[in-house]
Amino acid sequence: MSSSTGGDSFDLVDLTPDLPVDDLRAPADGMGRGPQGWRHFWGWSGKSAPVAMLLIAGVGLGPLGINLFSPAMPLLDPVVPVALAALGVLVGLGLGNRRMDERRLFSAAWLQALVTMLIVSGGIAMVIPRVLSPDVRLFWTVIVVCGICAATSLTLPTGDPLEPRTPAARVMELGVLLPIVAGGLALAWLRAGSPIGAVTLVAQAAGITLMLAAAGWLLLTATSSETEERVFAVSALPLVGGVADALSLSAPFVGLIAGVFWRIAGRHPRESIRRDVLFVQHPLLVLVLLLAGARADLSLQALVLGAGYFVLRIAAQLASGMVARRVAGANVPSDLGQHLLPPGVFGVAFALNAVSVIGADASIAYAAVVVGTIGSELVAVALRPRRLAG
Amino acid sequence: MEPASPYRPKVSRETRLLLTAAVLAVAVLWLLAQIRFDGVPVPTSPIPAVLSQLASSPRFDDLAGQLSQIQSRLQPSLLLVGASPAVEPRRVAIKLRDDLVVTWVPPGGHPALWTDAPIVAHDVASGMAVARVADAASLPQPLPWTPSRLQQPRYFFATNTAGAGVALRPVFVGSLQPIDTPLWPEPLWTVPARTDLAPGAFVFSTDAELAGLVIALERGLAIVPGASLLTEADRLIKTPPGSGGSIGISVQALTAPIASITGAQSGVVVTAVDGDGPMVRQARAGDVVEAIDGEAVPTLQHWNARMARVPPGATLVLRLRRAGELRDVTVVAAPPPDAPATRQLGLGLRGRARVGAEVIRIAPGSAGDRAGLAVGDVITLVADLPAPSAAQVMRAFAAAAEGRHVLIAVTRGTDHFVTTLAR
Repeated sequence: MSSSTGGDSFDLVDLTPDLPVDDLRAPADGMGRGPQGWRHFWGWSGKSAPVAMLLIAGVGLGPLGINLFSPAMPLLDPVVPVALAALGVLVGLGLGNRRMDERRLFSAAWLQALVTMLIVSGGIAMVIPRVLSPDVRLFWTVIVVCGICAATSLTLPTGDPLEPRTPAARVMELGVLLPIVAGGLALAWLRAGSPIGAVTLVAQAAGITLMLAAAGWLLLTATSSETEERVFAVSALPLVGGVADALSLSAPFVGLIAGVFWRIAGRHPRESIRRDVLFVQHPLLVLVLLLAGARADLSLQALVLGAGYFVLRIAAQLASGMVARRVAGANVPSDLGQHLLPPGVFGVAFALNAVSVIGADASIAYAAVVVGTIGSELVAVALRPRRLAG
Repeated sequence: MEPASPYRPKVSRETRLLLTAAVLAVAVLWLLAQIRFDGVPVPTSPIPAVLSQLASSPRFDDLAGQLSQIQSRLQPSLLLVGASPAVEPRRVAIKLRDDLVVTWVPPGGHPALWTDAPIVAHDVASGMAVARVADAASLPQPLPWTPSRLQQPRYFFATNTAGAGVALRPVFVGSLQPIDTPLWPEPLWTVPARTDLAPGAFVFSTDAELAGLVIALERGLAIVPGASLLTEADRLIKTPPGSGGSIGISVQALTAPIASITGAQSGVVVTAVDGDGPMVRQARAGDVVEAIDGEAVPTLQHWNARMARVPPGATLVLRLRRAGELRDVTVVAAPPPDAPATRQLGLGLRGRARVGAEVIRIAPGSAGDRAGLAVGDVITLVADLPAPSAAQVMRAFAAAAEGRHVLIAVTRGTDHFVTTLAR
């Protein structure tokens, strides 16, 4: 479940049977026989995480449950921007990997993300007046955060540019770009309070990030061993995440800037960073999901808003999948919307990031995203794409 | 070619799924719309509410929204302290720590009359006072505000006493200018003239942070920055400044003509020397005090600030200039003149026919002073005797047993109030 980025063996763009595709190893019926099938059913693999299970576990460990996490939460908070920056770095590093029909898939992915954002934001805008007190800043915060969080289905981008990807998986990967950029600008706007202030803030963050990325690149070109490379590459992540945290900006956006720089800068540092970031990304995301569950304040308002977010996201992903398929052509499966139903990690992690950037105004949106993510994950299990469901 | 099966659906599985999801989504949203939340008005249609949020609203609406939020956030940390409202206006205070609050006592105020919040420390020079309030421990303490650019125009929210509570109102401040004063170790921020602020008001930023306390200076109003206020209040408790000492001279500001005659560049001019004071043989009218204990006294404000913090028995070295010559004079501050015992009436009265007795003089610390009377007040009733003469007021007070109170009615301008004289 979740964002099984290598999910189906159907319509592979670049069929290379010898290359590893984690999800292909699982039985096709998805229900599984034995531990491998069970793990596949819950989306537990090297490239995906059982989002709903981890979130529920986080709720159980948090103040609403046995309260085991509470003392450690302030210490774990800095992990969130680092994990999100790592996600942004991976997306940035993956940009420009040329594949067949890439341009059409790219357009389809952007259109899919845009349609989802518009539907969910519009629907949430209709729900807010019945749930929350009228407040302009709160209104915009909730609809922007919900819209952006709903638009993605990605857990982890691919680590290997040559790895065979299904078109559906590629749509997921490319579709995360628009929410990252939109999220970065939106958070800057909500924080600065004016478009000019937001542009200034983004320019500052971009400048500092590029300096950091350049410094990291220079260090990586001068390394003499793989251990040194790993130390420098992993050290660059907290710096990039720290810039986002210090400037109270979107961490994936800042990570994306660094990732694009390293993508352009040269092959050797790029491959080192990709390998080492992937090395730490999965445990970081698991920790982020547990933390996300623990921090959710599941009030009645949040549950109602979360239920609205959930149904809107399901309908929006199905609708945007149909629209995207018309743009992408016959290459993508006809049930593209069902491939996009799993919520992935990015949405809930972005909401967590929004809380730290914007403050209390985003907490209701964040709780709603957690509720909606759990619901989406369960629906995605029930409505599996035909090839995956067998 | 085989004919199409009559059972083949005309719409694809994906379309059916999408339609089902859309119908379910609408149904769920409709169900959610039936849930009611306290404090959230139920719109008959959400469209106007959404449109009103999308449209650019006037700034005053934003301000009103901010005010409403800040009022609810700050209300628990603001309280009123002071004497009876009939005696003098009550003062706004904010929490300092534990059960202590910090506030401002204006010159001529009567902190001794504060029964609900006894004064723990009071700096007569600056007016800052720390009082003890029994239930202050549970109050939140506001965070001090740190400005990025002082000169930038901005809105503040200022406290305002409203009946029995404290209200907040928005105040536009064109700019803040730092200024050094002898009263405070840190620079204060002066506000432009005609800014709608009153001394003693606390001001807060739009993020509900404590911008500071408004005080009156000779040249207008100034704000004591929040961080400086809290630091100084803490220091006031630990090392309270002395007060009450007197060296028995009166002074005035040095003007250019006097400076040209005396040859002094700065200082204050002695105008009178108390015949019973410690400087009776050491100074005379026309001398210029240029420094105290080596510190220059450039303005009258510096002199007043220094003198207000002199405890009885303190030794001061004054640098005096007389006829162009400088000399240092050592003087020991005397205790203040004996205050009349609290059981004395301490009022100079003048009879006003068929009206009462007008107050023309008040001895500090006397029963009249403690009752909050001011020069010009007219006592229109004493005990049960209306329109009393001066002698009747004094007799009625003298006739009361020690520890008892005498009821009086007072007219102050167009206001009327009733208070008591404690025997």
